[in-house]
Amino acid sequence: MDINGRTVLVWHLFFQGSPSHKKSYQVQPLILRKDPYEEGELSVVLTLVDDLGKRVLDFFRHGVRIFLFFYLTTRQTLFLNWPSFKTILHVLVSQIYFTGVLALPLMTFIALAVGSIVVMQSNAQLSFFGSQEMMGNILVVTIVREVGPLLTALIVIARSGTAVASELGNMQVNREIEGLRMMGIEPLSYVVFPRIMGGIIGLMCLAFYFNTVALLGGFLVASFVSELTFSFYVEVISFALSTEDFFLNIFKNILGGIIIFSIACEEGLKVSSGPHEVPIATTNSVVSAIVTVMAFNLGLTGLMFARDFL
Amino acid sequence: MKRKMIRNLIFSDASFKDSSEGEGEFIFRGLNFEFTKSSPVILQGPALSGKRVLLKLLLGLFPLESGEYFINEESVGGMSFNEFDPYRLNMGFSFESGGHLNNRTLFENLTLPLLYHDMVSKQEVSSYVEEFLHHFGIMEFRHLRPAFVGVEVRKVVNLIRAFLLHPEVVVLDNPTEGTGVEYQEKLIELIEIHQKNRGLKYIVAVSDDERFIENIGGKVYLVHKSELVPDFRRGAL
Repeated sequence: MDINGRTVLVWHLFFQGSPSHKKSYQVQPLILRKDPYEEGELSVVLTLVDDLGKRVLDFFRHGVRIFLFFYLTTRQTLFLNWPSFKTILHVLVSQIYFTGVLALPLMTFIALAVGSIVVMQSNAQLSFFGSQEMMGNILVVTIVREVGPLLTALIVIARSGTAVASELGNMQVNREIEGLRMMGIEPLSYVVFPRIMGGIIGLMCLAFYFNTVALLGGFLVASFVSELTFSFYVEVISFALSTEDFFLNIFKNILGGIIIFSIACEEGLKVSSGPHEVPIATTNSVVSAIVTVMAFNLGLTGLMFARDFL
Repeated sequence: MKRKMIRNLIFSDASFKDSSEGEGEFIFRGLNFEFTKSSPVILQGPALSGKRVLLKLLLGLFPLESGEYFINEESVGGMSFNEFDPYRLNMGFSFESGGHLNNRTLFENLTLPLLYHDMVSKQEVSSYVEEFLHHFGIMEFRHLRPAFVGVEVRKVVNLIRAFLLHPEVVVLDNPTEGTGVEYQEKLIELIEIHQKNRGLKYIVAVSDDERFIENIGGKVYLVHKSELVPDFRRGAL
């Protein structure tokens, strides 16, 4: 195989599958395929464009599947199993406790660290230019709009998304899901819905907590190393904060929660043949959730920019 | 949810295909069988003959590929999970193993279906479940999680779950395997109580336990090539 052939092989290995991917390592069809180099550079480019197109379409299909899964779960619970909601509520509260309350110590530490870094850096840079009044804008844009929702989502993926995926995977293996169905309990209502809803509520609360601790705690830490007054700090922040930031933050967290927990539940429920699939499902869920949440945040920020320019 | 009475259970020309992978293979093709109220139906047969699939078909967990599954002359073979629920609530199932919620205590495992389907009030649920636990003498384990009790106790909880809603149909998968004689006798007592006083009409079980079959007066069928062969002699096929 020549150099170009190898490039295409690497491309395929990288983009067509990881060991955890369902259609993993589609090497064989690639090797059987005619060497694109023999047909000229154009073929190589077309192959790459073709593969890229497939990847993009797959990603959109994946997105549609996530929201369809969320829709079916919500529909099943709110319309078909509404009389059993009292029992479901118990699981929902447990999920909020696990995702939200138990994550507070970790969240506090990370929010303090991020807040103080951003406050100290922006204060140092802006005082150099003598425009400290811009600090509010920088903090709101960095922490409230971007870093807050994204970092919270990443922490929740690492902490709760993995837990949910492995829990549901184990439930499949131990036939707990089957057991529920035998008792006439629809797993989408009793297992999936409270985890997704609890996850969304937990994520929203955590993101709000993160923003508050990062902004206030960041100031406390920064005040030790700079001459920043609290009244000035509050003034610039409240001036920079808008209703749009508030709604954008909520929107990002709700969508983030749907993405993280729908993926985790779906991957967990995919486990079918044994315990060895549980870690695979957990890894799949983490990778998929990180990529989707990142892409979603990037897309949303891009849209905001595009709107500002138009 | 209101459960529906079950007057008869019939498979008519029923076919079921295992399509979990690819095209799948037929496990049952043209199965005709009517479950009898007079004597419990005991299914036997080699591994992969379809005994457990038949139990699950009975509970409406899989849709049929073709043919009909009638309950009270109503075709239920193509019903969705929710549509079948009124019948399913009148059916109890006991796994051979597993099936408990591991993050719930044995007591919570047993109260879950009662509370979920709002069949017993929260005040009554304790005494309702404890009656069963007393019957088998496993009260002291009620606040433990499944992982902290032995296989035998887990199995008994599985059996209790099948009878919990006072169903008209009980489906048991190897009910006596892994349990001692004491629990086996308690099970037979429980079956008798439910047959006499609680409206239990149909018992369908997978079992090779001769003593159990004799005690409940079961009729043995061999699951063989999409047929339920009655009165077979071991090794004849």
